[in-house]
Amino acid sequence: MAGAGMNDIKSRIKSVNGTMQITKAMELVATSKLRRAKLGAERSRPFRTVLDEVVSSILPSAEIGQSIWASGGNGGKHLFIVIAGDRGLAGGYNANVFRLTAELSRGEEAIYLPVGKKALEYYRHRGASLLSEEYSEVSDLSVGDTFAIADAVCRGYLDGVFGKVTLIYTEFVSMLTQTPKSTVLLPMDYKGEVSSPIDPILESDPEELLAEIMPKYIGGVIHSAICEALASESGARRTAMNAANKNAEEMIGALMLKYNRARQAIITQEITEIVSGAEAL
Amino acid sequence: MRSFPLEIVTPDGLEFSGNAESILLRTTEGDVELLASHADFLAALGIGRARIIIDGQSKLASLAGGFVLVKSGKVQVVATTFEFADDIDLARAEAAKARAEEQIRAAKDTRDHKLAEARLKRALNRINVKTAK
Repeated sequence: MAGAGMNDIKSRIKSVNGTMQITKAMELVATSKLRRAKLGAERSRPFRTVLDEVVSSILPSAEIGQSIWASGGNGGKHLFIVIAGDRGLAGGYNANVFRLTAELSRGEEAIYLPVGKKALEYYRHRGASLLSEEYSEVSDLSVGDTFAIADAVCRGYLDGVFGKVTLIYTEFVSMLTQTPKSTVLLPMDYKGEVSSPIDPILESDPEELLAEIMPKYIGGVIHSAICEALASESGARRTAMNAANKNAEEMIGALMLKYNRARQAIITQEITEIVSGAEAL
Repeated sequence: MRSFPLEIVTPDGLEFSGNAESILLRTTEGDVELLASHADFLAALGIGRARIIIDGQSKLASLAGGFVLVKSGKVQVVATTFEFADDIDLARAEAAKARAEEQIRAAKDTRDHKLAEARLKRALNRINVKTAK
């Protein structure tokens, strides 16, 4: 009886141990990836800062403020560019991004551009209308790919496929904190945060100039968002795996205690049996 | 010569930040040279050569795509690629050129052709900047 219980506990300890080996390995992998991804995110930040600075200071100029880029597109639909991960087991990383997107898209006629395998699966499964299914590997995207995305987005905006574009990704705040974040890409909206608006001399026709600049701006923002998202994914996975390791250790401890108790109980029982047997003689 | 604050960023990071005396850039409309106290200015960048003068020393770089903004005397260059001649890997550029030529031959539609052509242009630009030294 008690022996059977012992075997059960033993096999459970074994299986928890096996799981812990996997989560430990995953934590190590995530840690080394995180280091690289964090560097990437940090390197892309000055680009993003200057990009935002430049675009927010040219927006208030009359010629640009009245263009289609700032005043709103013709389409009624709302495009959501959702950047999630390629793999699960990263805590709430993917789910948080989807939750934020769901909140923002409530009541909107939404169309999605998923980036990353998990995002693609999620929206395909729900039968949502997708702009493209091409970007299923977020970790493989090159700078060229992000500019291709930006070109497609600008074309769709100008053609009136959608009139609003929002980007959703996860911001890498620190090794332990990653927060899902949304940015409205189009129509450009500068919320009056400009310290010193200017009216620069434009080298060419404003519409032509913006048609050149906007894809570069959007591509740049998407690129930096992807860098942030990659770092966040590794960070979230590391944290999740770390927690899994701790849980596994705790479980093994508790199971060991149970196992030892069961073992002790059998020994005690045997002694009692032998002693009572001897007394009976 | 008077100098002005200059910032050059690419998706790969901050390429240059500091004071320069002049910057020559290839815009979509042609070459433009910016000096200190230039009026506020905005232009889109093409594929071509850039030349910066810092402390009387001129430095060449290859440049492709992006835009430049001058705001109250400060020049900000946001480029898709910006590489100083010293950083250009000539062998890699030659390989990219050969690959692009191959793609142009293999291109099936005008879109492929255009993409390959842009690639070739960038590769040639790198080679020109590197060998001009």
